[in-house]
Amino acid sequence: MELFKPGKTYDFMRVRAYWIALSVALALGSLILLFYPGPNYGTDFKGGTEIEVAFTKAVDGGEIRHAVTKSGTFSEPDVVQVTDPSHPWRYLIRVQEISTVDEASKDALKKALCLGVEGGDDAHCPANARATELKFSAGGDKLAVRYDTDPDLAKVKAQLGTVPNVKLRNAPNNPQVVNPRDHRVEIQLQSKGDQLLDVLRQELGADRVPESALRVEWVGPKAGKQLRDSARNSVALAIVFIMLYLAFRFDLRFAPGVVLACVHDALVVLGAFVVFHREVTLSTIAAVLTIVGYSMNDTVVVYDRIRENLGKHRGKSFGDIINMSVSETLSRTILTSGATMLSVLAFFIWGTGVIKDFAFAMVVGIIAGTYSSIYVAAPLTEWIDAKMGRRGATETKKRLRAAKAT
Amino acid sequence: MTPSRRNTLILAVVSAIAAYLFYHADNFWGLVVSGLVVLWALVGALPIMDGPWRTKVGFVVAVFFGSLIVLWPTFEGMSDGKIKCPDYVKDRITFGIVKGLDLQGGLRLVYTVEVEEAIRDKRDKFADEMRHELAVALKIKEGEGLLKREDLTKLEERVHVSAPETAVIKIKFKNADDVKLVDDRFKKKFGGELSMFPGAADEVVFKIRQEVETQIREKAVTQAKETVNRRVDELGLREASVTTRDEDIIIEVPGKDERAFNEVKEIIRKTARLEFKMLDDDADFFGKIPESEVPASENIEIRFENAPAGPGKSVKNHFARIDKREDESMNQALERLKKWTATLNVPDDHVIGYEKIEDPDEDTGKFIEKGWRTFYLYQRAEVTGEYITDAARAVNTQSGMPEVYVAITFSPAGADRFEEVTGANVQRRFAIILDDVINSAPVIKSKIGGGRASITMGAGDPDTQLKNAEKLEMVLRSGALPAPITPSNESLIGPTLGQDAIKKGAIGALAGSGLVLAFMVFYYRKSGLVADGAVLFNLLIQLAILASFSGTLTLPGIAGLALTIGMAVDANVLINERIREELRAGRSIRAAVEAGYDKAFTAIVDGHVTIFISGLILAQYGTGPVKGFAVTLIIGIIASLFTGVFCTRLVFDWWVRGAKAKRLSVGAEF
Repeated sequence: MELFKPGKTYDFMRVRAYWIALSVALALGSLILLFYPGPNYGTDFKGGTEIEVAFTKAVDGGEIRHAVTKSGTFSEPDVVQVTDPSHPWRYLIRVQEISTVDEASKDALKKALCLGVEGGDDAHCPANARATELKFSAGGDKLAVRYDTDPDLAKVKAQLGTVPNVKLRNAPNNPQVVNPRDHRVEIQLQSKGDQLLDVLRQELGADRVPESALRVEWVGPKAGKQLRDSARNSVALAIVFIMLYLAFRFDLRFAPGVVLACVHDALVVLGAFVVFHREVTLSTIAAVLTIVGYSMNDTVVVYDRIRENLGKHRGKSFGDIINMSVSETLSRTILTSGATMLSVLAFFIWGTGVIKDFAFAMVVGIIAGTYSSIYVAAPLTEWIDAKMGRRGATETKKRLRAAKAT
Repeated sequence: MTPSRRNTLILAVVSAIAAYLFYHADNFWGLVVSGLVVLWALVGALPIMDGPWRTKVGFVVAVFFGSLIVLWPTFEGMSDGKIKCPDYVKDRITFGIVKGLDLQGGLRLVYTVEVEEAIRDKRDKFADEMRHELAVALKIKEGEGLLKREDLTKLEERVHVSAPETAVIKIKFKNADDVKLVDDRFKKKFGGELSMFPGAADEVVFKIRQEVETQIREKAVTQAKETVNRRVDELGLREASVTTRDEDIIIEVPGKDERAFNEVKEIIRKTARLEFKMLDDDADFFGKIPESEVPASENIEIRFENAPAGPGKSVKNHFARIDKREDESMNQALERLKKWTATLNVPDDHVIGYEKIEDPDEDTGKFIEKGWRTFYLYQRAEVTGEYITDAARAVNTQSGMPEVYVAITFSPAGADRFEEVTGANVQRRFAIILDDVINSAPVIKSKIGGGRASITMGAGDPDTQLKNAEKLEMVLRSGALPAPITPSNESLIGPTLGQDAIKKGAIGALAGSGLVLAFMVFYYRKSGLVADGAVLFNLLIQLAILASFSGTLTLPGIAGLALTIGMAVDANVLINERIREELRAGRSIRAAVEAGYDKAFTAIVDGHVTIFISGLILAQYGTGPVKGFAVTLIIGIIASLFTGVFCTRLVFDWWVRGAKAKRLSVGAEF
């Protein structure tokens, strides 16, 4: 069986102007999308709200995930079972959404808690209920308040009651002195965590969901700046070394093409993530790295043929050589991409959550990677070749002029 | 029988004897290797094809069985015991593939950062700076540089700087007139971070500002997270996750192995706070304690020693020691000693340090932990672990018994400081304190330049010493925690991906690879079958190498696997397409295979090398999952060259030369 008739040369370069325009548009569009509106970073990068719930009746992780996603108010959650002999159905549920307290409410809270009030004796601000420090948790659901003396918690509670738009969470020991040594008080506000519990109650039935969560907490990101920076820097460094290798193995004209093709593919994939509102997680980084590797290999195979044909057909223009080489390797290109695509498609169809996102990135990446070898890497090499005035430069110019004239 | 065949058979017999001996000596890996050599030699002696071909095939067979053995225990774990692995093998292969947090779950540890400690540190720094400022104002000291011992004594005659509370510094002047020394310049210098409170007429009280305190807290937590992250990385647990939550650090470690968990906990908790403090032997603090106040019932007693006190001088110095009771641990003994010392009236610029007492056993010569002794130290740390740039373990064999120590290197700033401190305190003792316990209290013989110091590992059997040195090296290099952390919670957690998602993912993986394999056979016929064999072999080798360093298999890791399997398929596609081209050009089968491999090889090598380079760099400079991805990528690339080019070539060679095939089954007719 053969996919393409052997020996036939397709004129890929004739229509390259359109494809190059498309590539530029796609890459630039993706670049813009990456800044505005920007990618939807998952909890891996952004942190989020984490609640720990001990369900009262049997429930499995899939059900919880489904319930949270179905509600529409929350992103796809991470659901992790926690082994606990006393609570057999204990789960950690992490969502991206975090509660926020707006600036006006923050100011109102500061005032109500008598932050920085000194001296005098006020009915609202007695000496044992004057906050000296007020810290809002990053999750917006908690206040850490410090006092100079042992605070009057009942008074503090009453002070909080005067603030509109802010509700205290219904829980025992709220507010609570968490550190008697420096009189630190923790106040829990109604938050996304409570909302999440409501959603669960609604979807799973009130008999399965407990009154309150074991914990509601804001969690920081897993992958901080450090990881992002190291990923970016190491990719940049890898690109430099790959250029050096290719410059050595092929020649200088070839190296930039591979790199540009990789960058193009990575951009397009990230752009697709923004367009389709998919979450960027640590797995996405892995997917992008995979795609970069795939794209490099694909480009190198085409280059290898170009190099071989350059030696064999000395009289032909660079454009013709590209056409010939791409045509000769076409069945290989389609076969490899097809085979890889087959396996990735299976993930895309059967996978869920992160796996589906991963497969999505791969599908986009494989298409981009295959295409970029032909319409990004090869034309750039041709262009550099023409600029450098090396072999075949005059022919290329002639061809270009002829193309303009018609 | 040809001589070469005779030789290979002799090799087989010799290896078989070696294997038996290894088995007897319970040397498992020796047994495995010689067993594989037997296999290799036996294949080499088969009456088919030529010698070089048989040698290569023998090697491939050995690699295949070696991989299987390495993966045996892992297979048992992954198949839930359906594939049985004998205990003999299981006990000897201690490594295996660990499924990552996303696939299997693991241990979730929550630690609370004791930020108070970080605040106290900062406060002490401010107090130091203030002492310096005051010394300059009182004309005790000129310009920059450390305050010398005698400078401090002089300063003490005029003013006492103390830290009565976590965030408070009190300056008490002997002469109330001196209060004016805290002038506008002084206030301006510290005013940004400290607020001043009125006190008695002869004192000034400073408190760290709330916002500065908050900053210190936050910084301590972030720094602690980064340090823990580095340690986790150094442990090779690249797939563990570290997050923060308020003043907590959450660490999730993949796996199920209790032993591995304990090691992780030990390394993570080590604060690795290294401090160098001067001893105050002149004060003879313990000598002034009346005997009636020493509770002999607690096995505590006061002893004395001669201590150097500057060049040519020595003083009689007393110290307290406690003997460990038979039924208590060293820590319990230390607790008892500390309970007593807490009742003593220690001036706030001094602290009591504790060192282990280890005495050699007369019969065995081994050192035994006897109890603890005290040292009377200045509270201020002259040099701290902040200045450490490197740590490396080493063994000193000069003095009879090998002595293990960790050599530390200071940064230039630290080296200067160390030189200055040691220069100012020749013939005095200083204490090297690691995590609040004195490691040693040597006498400074002369000024120590060059920024090097060493920490001895005490007395114990060499193995334990070496292991401890390794741990210490690791934690010192990854940096100290800015504040101690205490465990507040730990629980076992399930996979983050969810059982349902994993199941579906597994179906996807099976369906996907099944489709690819079927397609290859459909398109290339028998050659496709060869390629499929190569791909599966590639997977086996990759898993075996991953298992051999207890790698973690996570979703990103599987992505790395998928890419390299794609590469392996690609290599065979390239070769088969080339062979078809050559056949089309009218070459003989043999020439077509030859040329197909030769011409495809350059493309394959360039593709592989490019990816190999990026893998190397990502592994070197990447962190966390990026590193994990890169490692699988590197392994896969090497395995792909081996299986996709080397192994398939052997099959083709056999076809065209051994089986003398008239037609080559590559899915097209020529």
